[in-house]
Formats: sequence, C-alpha cells, structure tokens
Amino acid sequence: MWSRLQKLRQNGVLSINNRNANYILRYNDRKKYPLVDDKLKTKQLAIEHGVSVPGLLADLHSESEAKDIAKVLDPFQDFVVKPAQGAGGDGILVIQASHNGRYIKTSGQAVTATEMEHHCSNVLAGLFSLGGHRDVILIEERIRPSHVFDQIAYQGVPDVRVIVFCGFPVMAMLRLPTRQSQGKANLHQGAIGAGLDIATGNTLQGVWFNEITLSHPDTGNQLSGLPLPFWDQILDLSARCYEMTDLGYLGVDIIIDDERGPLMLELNARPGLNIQIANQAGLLKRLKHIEDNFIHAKGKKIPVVEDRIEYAREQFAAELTESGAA
Amino acid sequence: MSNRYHLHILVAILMALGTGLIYYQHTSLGVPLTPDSKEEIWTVEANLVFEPRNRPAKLSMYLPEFKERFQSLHERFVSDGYGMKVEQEDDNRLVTWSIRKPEGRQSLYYTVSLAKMTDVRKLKKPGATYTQKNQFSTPIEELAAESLTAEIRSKTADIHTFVTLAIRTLTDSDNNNAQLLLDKAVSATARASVLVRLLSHAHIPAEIIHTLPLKQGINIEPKIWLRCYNGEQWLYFDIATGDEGLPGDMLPWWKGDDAVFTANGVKNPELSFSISKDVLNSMQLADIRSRGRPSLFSEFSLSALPVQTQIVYQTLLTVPLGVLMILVLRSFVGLVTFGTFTPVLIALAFRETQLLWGIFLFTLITSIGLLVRFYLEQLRLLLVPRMAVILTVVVVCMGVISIFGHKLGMERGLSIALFPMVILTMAIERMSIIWEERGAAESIKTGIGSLIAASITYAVINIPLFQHWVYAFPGITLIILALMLMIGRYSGYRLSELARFKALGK
Repeated sequence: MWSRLQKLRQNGVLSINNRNANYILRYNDRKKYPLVDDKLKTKQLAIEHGVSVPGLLADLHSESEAKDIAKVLDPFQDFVVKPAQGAGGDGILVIQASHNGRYIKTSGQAVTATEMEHHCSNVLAGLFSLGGHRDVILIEERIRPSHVFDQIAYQGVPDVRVIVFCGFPVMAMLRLPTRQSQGKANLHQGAIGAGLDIATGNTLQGVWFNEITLSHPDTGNQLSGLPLPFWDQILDLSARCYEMTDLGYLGVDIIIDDERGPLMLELNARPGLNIQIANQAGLLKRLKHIEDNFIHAKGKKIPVVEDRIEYAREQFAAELTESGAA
Repeated sequence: MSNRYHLHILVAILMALGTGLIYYQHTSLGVPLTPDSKEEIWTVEANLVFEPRNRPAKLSMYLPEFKERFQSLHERFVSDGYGMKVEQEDDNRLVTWSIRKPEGRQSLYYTVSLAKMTDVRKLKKPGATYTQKNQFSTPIEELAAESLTAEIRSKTADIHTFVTLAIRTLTDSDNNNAQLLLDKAVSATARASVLVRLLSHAHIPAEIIHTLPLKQGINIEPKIWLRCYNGEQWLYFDIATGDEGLPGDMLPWWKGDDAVFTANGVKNPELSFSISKDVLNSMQLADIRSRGRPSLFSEFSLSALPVQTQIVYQTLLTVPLGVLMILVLRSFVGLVTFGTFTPVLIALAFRETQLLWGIFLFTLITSIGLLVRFYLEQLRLLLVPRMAVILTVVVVCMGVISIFGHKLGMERGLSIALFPMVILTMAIERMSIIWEERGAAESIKTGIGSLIAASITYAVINIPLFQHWVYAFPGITLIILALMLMIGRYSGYRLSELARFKALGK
C-alpha cells in the first residue's frame, strides 16, 4: 500500500483532497459558480463570447408551463430535456422522436405525455439540482453524433472532456456511452473514458470503471489510435471558456455534431479525476508545470488563447509508450 | 502563502488553549481524567450536649482549619436560638455559642464535609519559632530539663531524631529526670505539654496538635500529636511511640493544650464526634470543589446549568467528536455516505437503540420507506408533497414498530422513536434517486457506507472515556476544532483513491 502511495505521488496523480484544497478553492471564485452550475446562464454567456453551443429550443420556469409541456414540445421532432442545474447528467431525457403524443428515448423506450409532465415538475421542484433548489428546464436541440464515433460508441452521444487550467487545455478524454451507462456519457454510470493526446487529438487507451480497457465492451472495437476530428476547434473552444468564466480550474464538455462541428455542452467547476486513468498520466504534474511557468513565475502573464494552445500541445503531448498494454 | 501560516498559528493557539484548559482543570480543580474514578468524602459531626443551669450559657469549641491536606466542601452549624460567632483565636478557629436562658437538654451541632486536597501543598507560612513563655517553673525542673536536653542532644543528630528520642525518654519510667518533669502527669495532654516545654528549652518550635482519625463510627476520640518545626516544614510525631509522620486519614482539628471546648454556666457538657464516609464520583466532587472556590471558570461552566440542560449538552458535545470521525472517514478513507453529517445523527440515535438494533431498525425503516417511495413514483406527486408523504409514512412505521415491539416484549423496539425522522426521509429520497439514476448497487453501497460511518461514529462517541472528556473538559472541543482545521488543509490521497488509481500506481 505504501509503495503504491509513493508511485501515485511520483506519477503526479491529483487526489480529490488536493484538487479541492489547492485547485478548486484557489482558482475558482465561488461567485462565478452560478455561471457553470446553471446551464441556461452558461449558454447565454457562451453565445455572448462566440462559443458555439447546442441551440436552445425553449426554457420552462413554472409548473403552469410544465402542464403545457406537450404544446411546447409539439413543434419539435427530437430534442433534449435538461435540468438547468442538474449534476452528473441526472434528469436528462434525450428524445429521438415524437410520435402520437409519445416520446421515444434514445434507448427506444417510450415516454407518455403525463410521464413527461411529471418529469418536468420534478425537475422544476429541484429533484436533480445540486442544492435541491427550484430549477429551470431547458429544451435543447438534439445532437446528431458525428459518424466517426459509430465504431466505438454504443447509443448516446460521445463527448469530449477537456480540463482547462488557467486557460491551458492540460488534459482531455473522449467519453463513450455504453450499454451499462444507458447512453449517458458519465463515467460514474459506466461510460468509457478514452484518453486523448493533447498534441494530436488521437485517442489513447480507455478506462472503464477505473480499469484500463483497450476495446469497447459493447462493440469490441479497438479504442486507441482513432483521430478525433475538429481537434483544433475543440482546443480553441475549451481554452476560450477560461476568459468566458474566469474560472481557473474548469472541465469543459464538448460534443461533436455531425453538421455544426464541436459544440460546448456544459462546464464543470469540479471536474472528476478519472481522466488521469484514461490518459495514464497524472494531472498534478501538468498543473504544477503551468503554475511554475506562468502563475508563480515573476513577470509572466497568462498568454492569449492561440499561444496557450500551442504551448499545451508542445508540453502535454502523450508520451509514446506501450504502458496501456501493461 | 501567508494564510498557510495563519492556519498553523490558529491551530497552535487552539491546541495550546485546549491543553492548557485541560491541565488547569485537572490539576487545579481536580477534574478527573477518567469518568469512574471515585473519591471519599468524609462528614464529621461534632455534637455538643449539656444541661442548662438556669443562667446564661456560653460555649466555645475549636473548629478545624482547612489549610493543608483536607478541603472543606460544606460547613454547617445547627444551633437554633443561639448567638453564634466564629473567630480566629491565636492559631485556632473558634466558634462561640451563647444563649441567655436555655431550657431543657441542649444539643448543638457542627457538621463539616471534607475531601482530600487535590494538590498537596506545603503550608507556606509556618511562622514557627520557639516561645519563651513555655518555661519550667522551678529551678529544679530547669536543671532536669537542661540535663535531659544535653543527654538527648549527645545521642542525636538532628531535630527529627531529637524529638523522637525526647518522646521515648519521657515515656521511660526509669529516667529520673523525665519522671521529675512529668511530675506524675499521666494524661497524654499533660505529657505532650511537658514535651513542648522540653523542646522549647532545646530551642525547637513545637506544639500540640489534636487530630481526628477519619474512620466511620460514633464517639471517635481525638488523638494527640506533637508537631515540630525543623526550619523547613512541620514534622508530626506520635507522642506514644515517638514515630514521625502523620497518617493520611488524620484530620488536624485544633492546636495547643486546651480542651476542645469550654462551657460556662452549664451542667454535664459532653462533646462527641461521629464520622461517616461517602464515595462520590470524582466529577461531582470536582463540581462541589469549584463551587466552594468560585471562579470565573466554574461560574461559566456547563455544570452551572440546570440538570436537564446539562444532560442535553452531554449529548450535544459528542457531536463535534462524531463529526471529526466523519471528517476522517471522508477525507482519509473516502467513504461515501448520504449527506455529510447524516451518519452522526444516526449514530446519536444508535446511542439509545444500541448498535445491532439500531442497524436493524434503520434498515427496516429505510426499506419500508423505499418501497413506499417506489409506489408513490407511480402517482407522480410533486417533490415536496411526496417528501411529506414519506415523512408521514416513516412516522407511522415507527409507531407501528414500537407497538409491535412492545407487544412482543422487545422494549428495544420502542427506542426507534429516537431516530431522526426528517433525516431518514431525506436519506430515503436520496437513496431512491441514486437507485433510479445510478442503479441499485450504487444506492445500496451508499446506504451501507452511511451505516458503516454511523457505526464507527457510534463506537467512538459511545466510549465512556471520550464522553467524559468532551463534557468535563471544554479544552477537548478546542483540540477537536484544531484537528478539524488541520484536516481542512489535508491534500493527500484518500485510502479509496489508492484502489481507484491503481492503474496509475504501476
């Protein structure tokens, strides 16, 4: 046990306590949290800053609006119902088709209008919101996932998580839904995370329930070596979120729409740490590198977006090792 | 970086303050470190009876002084209708009762409860010098004393041995000088008085001290001791054997060769001492002690509160300790629980139900609650009304379990009423959401995590020693506070992370 502790330290693995005490508390101003915790605010802010986001179809604020949900949803064939303050993907309904007042989820299950109404009232009452506060419902455009993922995704929409530290994209992974995660791209719920090489955007090995995996458990296809399209845009999008929110330690979730390309889906002020397993690399090393060279270094300022991306690509390129096979 | 020092300084201050308080309470106020240490309390009753003589009566009695060895906890005089004053007379404390016209047989009482002093301090101000007034009256006695002194001095080295030998010589019936000085004085008091004069002659400060042996019983006889000042401290000598050292259970009462009481204008005065012993919890004793010695500390301590409130605080003060346990379990171990402090509240309920019953009842109630919650899901209720329904169902279930438990003769079932029902309701709601969103396994895992945390917390806050510490020593809570502050800056790995990141630990 002691030797593993030493190894973790050596590899610069960031722990929860360390993340909370030295990064979230230090670099994330609590006043700015509502910007990322409320997806409606994030969306509005992103539009102001020219960051592409999925289109907003409607937003519901009261029970009476929820009663008329069928009328609100009537014009749309497919859409996503989302609590504005939900966490971990809870309370999100992805509807791929509407049919005779029934809504078909991506899993193929049908949701009746009354069930939809009930779900909406639960969301509004704050069932899924962090502090149990009253919430707002967003109706968003459904993303049509890029075909590059067909091989390695099972249902649902894969997304890209980028950890942005003081504007530098320091680590990234691709999150792939599985049968286990019921189409959700959340690692806690059984989605796969595949590391991404910051320099090239190529996938590395994957992590599934904290274990390294080389192939997708549902499709059996190999996970590594897949070049992610729009990598430059993805890096640009995520790095811009720093100026947008002023949060120093940020998780940016990006999805790739078949038509619109990369869209910023949501931001997270307390991003998880499994990304380290997917990348077989410690986050702490990279954070310290940025701190030493820019934050604590005298006379150094945080450079502009383009320079930051270039710097990150140089510094944080994946080491070409066979460690994934070990 | 400066706020790092800030925290260290704050922690250091709290630690120092906490330990300082504990040290003060323990050494000065005698608050015991263990909850069940017992101490003896002696109650001495002096009863003075007499018959009146149809004229004004005046009675005086020496009282014990509590300057060393013993501490008086409570003193009481029972003397209805008498004028009474307590005053200092030379080395003694004296009570004087007076009455103009007593009728019938009279009885006066002096009662004192006392306990051993916590810190045995030496009497600082002896002011002892030999006095010229204790002289032998005739030249022949003078001469005998002179030769006795010379004889004893030639055989001894210091005051200690001198006194011992002087006592033994005086009891020696073959020694002519000694017999001459004693002059047929046979009573212990008379002999002691001669000894004091002899020692004064040898320039050794000495006095008679009467002590009461602390043993349960009635008609306890005072015992005479001789004490001599050797320049540093008083040495006590048994005047029968000449042995030095006063046993721990001897209560010094009065000094000098006078009788313990004097009575004027009465017939057949009689004084008797009776002694009883009580064993008191050290906590209670410390309490009584601090009351006798009022200080800011005792004035503003929890034990100054009404007993009901004290009991509440005995429980409340274990909460920080429980919370500290949760901090450790979460920050160092990485246990997942419902809510942050829910396990502490469950642990408090376990105190009443006992552990196994507590776990059983908790599981039972949450299971029923979950079933109801799943059923309610079909009715599509709004969140708040649904929680209200679950809360009500939880209360009803608790009632039913209590009734059945009672009927079946399992009185433990009644203690379910102490479960924090609002907390239970929240736990049920959270559990069902996790159940739906993350699956049954995750939900049960969190539930078990909460139970483990509650059980560990219960085990810790239920240790009598800890309960005693947090209640008796406010300093402990300061130390707990300091520990919490320190944990607040812990940024190392959690035990669970060693497993989680095992793929990175190669």
